[in-house]
Amino acid sequence: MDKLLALFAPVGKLFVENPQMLIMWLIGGTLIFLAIKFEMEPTLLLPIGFGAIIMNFPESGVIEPLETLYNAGIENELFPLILFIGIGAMIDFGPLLSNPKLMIFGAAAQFGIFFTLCTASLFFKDIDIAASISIIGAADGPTSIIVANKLLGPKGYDDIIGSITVAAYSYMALVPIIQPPVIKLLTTKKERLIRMSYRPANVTKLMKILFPISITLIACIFAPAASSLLGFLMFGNLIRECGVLDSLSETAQKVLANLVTLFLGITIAFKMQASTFLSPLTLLIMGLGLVAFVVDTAGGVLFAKLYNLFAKEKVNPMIGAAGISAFPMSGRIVHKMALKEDPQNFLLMHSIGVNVSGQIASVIAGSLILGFFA
Amino acid sequence: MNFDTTNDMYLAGYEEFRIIGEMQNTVAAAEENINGENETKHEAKIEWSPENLGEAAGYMAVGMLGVFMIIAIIMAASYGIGAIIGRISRNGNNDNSDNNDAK
Repeated sequence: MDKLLALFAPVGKLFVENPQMLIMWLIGGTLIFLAIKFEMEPTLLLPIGFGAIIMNFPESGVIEPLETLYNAGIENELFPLILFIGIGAMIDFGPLLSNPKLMIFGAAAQFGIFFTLCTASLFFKDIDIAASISIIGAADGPTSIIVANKLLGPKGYDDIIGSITVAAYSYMALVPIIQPPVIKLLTTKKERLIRMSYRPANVTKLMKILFPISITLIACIFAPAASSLLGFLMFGNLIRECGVLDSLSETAQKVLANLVTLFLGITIAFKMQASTFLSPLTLLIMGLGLVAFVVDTAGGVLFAKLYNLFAKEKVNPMIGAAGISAFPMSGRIVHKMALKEDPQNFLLMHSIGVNVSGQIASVIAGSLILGFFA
Repeated sequence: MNFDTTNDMYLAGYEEFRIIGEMQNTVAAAEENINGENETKHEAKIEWSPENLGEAAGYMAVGMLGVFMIIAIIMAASYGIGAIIGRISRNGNNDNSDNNDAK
């Protein structure tokens, strides 16, 4: 028995000397549990959770390789941009192009970003920190990483970047839990029952090819900071729509996106060392991130209600909530909520249209934040 | 070197060490600069700063306006592309129908 106790003595000593490490293991374990049990963004939460565990050992040998990956892929923004090619290749802009007015709801749902900027600015002397936290509301991991890195990296606030990234991806995973109560709170049953007719316009192949090119040109002219993000997104979409690069499109959608996601998840964990991650600051960032998601959802729904005051053909205000760019979860949630209220009310094409417009609008909002503060 | 007192000897030695120490520090700082290892690391602090609110509110107004404007331009471009392509295809169809009629 004594020998057994002696065997475990170093383990006990480890926990006594580094209780923070144990907390990080619990956080990592929770992320893995959420990923496996509830399938919440498993492609990201599982690698992040596992990374959080292996990063938090005394003299962990994994720190150096992860730091190399971090410098090679996240600090220089390579991974998020490559991931955007894959996301662009996954998006079908058809539903949006058949009803372009849906784009306006995507813009409205970015309100959470700017509201959170105001709220976060109350807590930090340096407004750049507030701006970086506010971008969690973009509900878009790559945009959050790029904006936080560009604003905080040069200033040496490295410790916050990890918390912002984890908050962004965690809340994206929690969209099915966060959005429905907010939507229900802000809409009446009568509003949730509004049916929207879907009249698919003839969206030609040429239109689908010209759309990514024209958006890139517009972004380069009016929001140059967005040119890298939107440019890569639209490049991926052009590969999909051009019709002559099917194998590249398939690779971008599956192999490339999966490979980068794999590295992205585990590499983010490099910023989850207990010494920097476990602080009241992280809690505040998580709280502000939640505010951003809630206000994004509320902004979209309330704008749709405002639109209904003036429109002849009413829209179901729930589609406003799909304007956050958590694609395609947010669009699906609105569709499912509509079906729950009325099994014959199919909002999927509208909500997905708003959802992809939210993807574009969130990148534009991110680039504006960069334009203001970088 | 002649020293009158032990104290003089000590001071002279101290001075030499101080100079060597300074030189070493300068060299180390220069090396760090070359390697880029002396980047400033800051720790973000939570500080109640209501004075930022006005500036942030300004950015909120301009930011939301900016998002709406750029999205409106993209929306207009989408309608424009649709209209142009629609007209071109209609003209094409009309031309074809004319040809068919001629046949």
